[in-house]
Amino acid sequence: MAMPAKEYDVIVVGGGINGIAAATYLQKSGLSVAVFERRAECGTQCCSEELMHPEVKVNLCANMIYSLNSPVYDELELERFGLEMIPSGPWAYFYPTRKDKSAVLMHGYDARETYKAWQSLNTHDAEVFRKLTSYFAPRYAGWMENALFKPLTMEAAMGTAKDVMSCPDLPSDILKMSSSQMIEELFEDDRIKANLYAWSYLVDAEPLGPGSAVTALMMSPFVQHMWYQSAVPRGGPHSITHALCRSFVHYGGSIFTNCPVTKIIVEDGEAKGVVLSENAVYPEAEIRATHAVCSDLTPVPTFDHLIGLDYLAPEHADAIRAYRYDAVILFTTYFALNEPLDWSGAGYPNEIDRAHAFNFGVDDGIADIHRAHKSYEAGLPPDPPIVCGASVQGYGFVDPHQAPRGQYSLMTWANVPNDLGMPGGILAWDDIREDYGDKVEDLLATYVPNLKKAKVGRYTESPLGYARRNPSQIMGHWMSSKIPSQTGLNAPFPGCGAPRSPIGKLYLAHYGGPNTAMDGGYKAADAIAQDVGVREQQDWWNVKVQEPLLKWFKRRGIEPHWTVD
Amino acid sequence: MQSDNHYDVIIIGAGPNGLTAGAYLAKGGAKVLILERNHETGGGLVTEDFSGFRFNLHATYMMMMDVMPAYKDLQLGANGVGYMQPDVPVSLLTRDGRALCLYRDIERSAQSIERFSAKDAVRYRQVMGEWKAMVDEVLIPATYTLPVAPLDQVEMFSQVPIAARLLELSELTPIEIIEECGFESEVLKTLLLELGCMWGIEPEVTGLGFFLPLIANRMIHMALVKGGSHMLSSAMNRVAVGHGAEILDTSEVARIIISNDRATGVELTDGRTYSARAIVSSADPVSTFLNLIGEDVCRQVYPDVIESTKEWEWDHFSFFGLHMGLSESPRYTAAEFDPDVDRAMLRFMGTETVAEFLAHVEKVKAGGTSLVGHSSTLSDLDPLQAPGDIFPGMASARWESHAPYKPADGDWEQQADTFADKIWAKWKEYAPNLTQAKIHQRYVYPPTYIEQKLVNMVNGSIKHGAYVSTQMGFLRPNVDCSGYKTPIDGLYMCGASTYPGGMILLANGYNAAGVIAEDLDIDRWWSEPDYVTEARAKGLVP
Repeated sequence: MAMPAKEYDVIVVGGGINGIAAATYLQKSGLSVAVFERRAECGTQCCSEELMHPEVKVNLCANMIYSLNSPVYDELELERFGLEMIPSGPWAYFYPTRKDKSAVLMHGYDARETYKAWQSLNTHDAEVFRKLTSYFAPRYAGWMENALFKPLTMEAAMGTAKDVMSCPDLPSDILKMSSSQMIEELFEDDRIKANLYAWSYLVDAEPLGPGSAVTALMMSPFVQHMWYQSAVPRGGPHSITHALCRSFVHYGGSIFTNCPVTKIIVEDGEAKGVVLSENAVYPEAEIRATHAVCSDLTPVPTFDHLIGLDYLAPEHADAIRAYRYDAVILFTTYFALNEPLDWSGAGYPNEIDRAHAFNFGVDDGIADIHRAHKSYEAGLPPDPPIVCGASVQGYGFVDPHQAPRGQYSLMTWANVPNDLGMPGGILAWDDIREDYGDKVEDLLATYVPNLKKAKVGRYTESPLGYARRNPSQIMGHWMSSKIPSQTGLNAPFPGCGAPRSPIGKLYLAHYGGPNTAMDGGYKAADAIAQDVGVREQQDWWNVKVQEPLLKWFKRRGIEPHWTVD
Repeated sequence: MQSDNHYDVIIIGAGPNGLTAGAYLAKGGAKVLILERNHETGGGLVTEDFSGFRFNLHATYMMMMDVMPAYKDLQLGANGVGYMQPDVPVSLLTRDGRALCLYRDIERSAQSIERFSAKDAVRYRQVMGEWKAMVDEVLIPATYTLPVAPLDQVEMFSQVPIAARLLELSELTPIEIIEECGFESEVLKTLLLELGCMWGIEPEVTGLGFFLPLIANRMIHMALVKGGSHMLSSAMNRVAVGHGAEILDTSEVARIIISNDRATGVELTDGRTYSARAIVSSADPVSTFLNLIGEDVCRQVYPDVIESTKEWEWDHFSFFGLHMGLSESPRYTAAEFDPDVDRAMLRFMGTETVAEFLAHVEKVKAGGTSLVGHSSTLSDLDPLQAPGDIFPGMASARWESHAPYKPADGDWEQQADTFADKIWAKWKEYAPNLTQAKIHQRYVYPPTYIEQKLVNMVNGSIKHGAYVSTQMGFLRPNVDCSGYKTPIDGLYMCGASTYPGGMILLANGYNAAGVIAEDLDIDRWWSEPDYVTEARAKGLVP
């Protein structure tokens, strides 16, 4: 069997989009880089697969696409390498209420439209939206740059916190509040509140969790239109992976799929290379890295499975031993449809027939949240489900490459516990998976009855299915439990120093959470490039956060309005 | 002046042959654009991941992997393509629990055959020895060189005894060849016939007798691509891009632009246009001439092609796939008779006499379904094809059968699941442990899906057109175009509808690249394989 090279400047373990993004930055900066990926296809969490009917794409993981905000989009020339973001708006999102057939609407790029829509529901809440948006909008890009594209420091975190606290329209103890306290305190309208609860789940801001209010705000409707556009990658999210891979390979990088890494070689306290599994295309091959090994895996696989806790200081080893992946995460139910969901026919506003995404199932607001919370504590998926994100994504409407003409697809994410409180724990998902898919389907059909008639196929993926897809997703979790010792300044564990790590020349590209902004890969590449001395790439590594988005709007003749005034 | 949208070569379709041609020409310095309608490149090289259970929905068993020039020339081995050639490539399981196994090693096969017929074991050594020489010395070199006109070929082959013998066989049907071999064991005869006819030719088709030795010999050398078939195309994709080719997926060509009687560019369904010195279609002739160029335009530039293309024959039956993600590998009763059954890659089941096999083929051709098929558990050979490293024991298993594209009594939308249930019940008869195995994933893949997924596989025709004597060799897709250059200036063909056919040979794209490189004065950097040089010295290839 022929072999790849024996040595590279940098080895990336795991070909997720953050891993390939990091690899591409470094390859483009003149280093030689190889990526080793276990699966057949890179981009495990940025995938589009044909798991139902041919040509109907199932996007099991990334669906909310933030890439246009990211410097990566332009710096790695994703459009040149075949990525096209298709606008699917203008309405980005809605929250339907069964009781009165109303919908809380959000516009893709014009806060004035959202304001008008909210005014018709509740003038007080519309005013809150107006005020918060006008305070947040001018500060937003700066916050995101600090939070995502620079190693998080206490100083930066304090700066943002101070900024948020200084907002005259927020309670002074906002930093300590849970998102449900914030929602109940600020808003009046049950429909708008229900919508915000669903958003809290969607953005991983556990509604009853202390301190979750700020996360909820940061990723909430007040800034949503600045961050998460109603745009879909032509062909599905996996197109981002394709464009990244082509960019990387174009600059001379090497990708090896079907090559699980079983060991990161550590010598004299430094990462020096990798060993591949006996099942890999190159069984048990040892490949050395001169400058860096960058892991795109979650912490337990990286430090426990591939390195060994003996190489860590006792407090770091203890942190990995105690590392948690149990959490409320996503259960995906995907539908293939031969007619679009008929929202207006069911009595909802016309705008939502072509809107991009929606949440449903938390009509009773805080009561639903408590119901769900009780369920999660018992290790049971809520019944009826709490669906924190669903998306028609223009599939079949604006992008025929995701469903053939006359067909449509629909994604739903229900919030469920991964570790079930029944015999077998997570393994019990095998027994209840299809039944729970039925529950999601039945719930959605109470909103749009034509779902049942339109359905021609369904695919469900439980947390267990996610765990089987990807050994880095322990318990099916895309990252790790969102507990204080694993998030924020502590991410992925206290004293790690990410994107650097306690092991010399070992860097982390996947610790902040899944994000199609590819900020984890960006930061890892930034740190490696600085440490190796190749960071000065002024002719191309110079794009600001949100710049690609602004250019994208401009090319389409759209002028975004991020405040109401 | 050249614009950004101008290329040396545009290739329509990033299937195995489009990627091969593109990679060779890009490495030769040409500015190459490869356009693909689907999201994934690779055409029939499809591997889908169902919660870690990898299902290869189309091409799975590679019969030329160890001899295809592209593997060496494009350094696929160093670019991530690994393959394995199983020791026990095929077996046939009988209803009474016996099994015949064929091995890569002729002698070991003979030992297995001996348990059915001592006389056949002796004959098998002789027959396979002769067939091996035919394949190695004649058919493999012929696969990776340009087609030869029938009369010239007869003249060339007549000069060399082994090739002359091949000519004789070519006149016979597969059934006649099997009979001529003089085997007495029905099980052995059935297995050889199944091998030859599963993906190749029909048992009673005339004029293509050379296929039986080709497939019988090459299928016992068949390879499994590590990690799944798609690995082969994703590596070729990266090799092509690494040599500067541009690949655009989800980019469907709507029209080949003909101006001044010359193919000059393409227009995509979304309106994008690109121009090139050479347009290379890896699509079938109907798509290429009648759809992408259009009958009206064709009438002006290449009128002869219209009528013959309208008569293009698709396969007379297709394939039904059942893909299972299981808590354990199937364990076959026949392993008690011969433990190597559990190591075999393919296990044919449901038929054990020639008459039964012929009845099966006739039934399927008439639109009926049949439970004659074969199974394989790819994860037993390649553990990455199931999530066994995370959840021990789990297995990906597949069943494939001949099936009508249109069932006589209804349609696949209604019948597919019921038919899959019947297959599963039949499968369990041979592997009783499946009764208690947990089913984690099940994907049913009826013939209609084949065409939906790969538009050139009309009627589920996996090779872009039937293997019949009027569509093979120098006649594939027709006398004008089988040498890859068409009568329309600037237009070339390189897909499975051209010589020598489908089945992931990576020959069509390789041969076409040579022709295009010569016409466009692109560096022909590669040298021909030694077996071609040797065959040429004997006058067997041009």
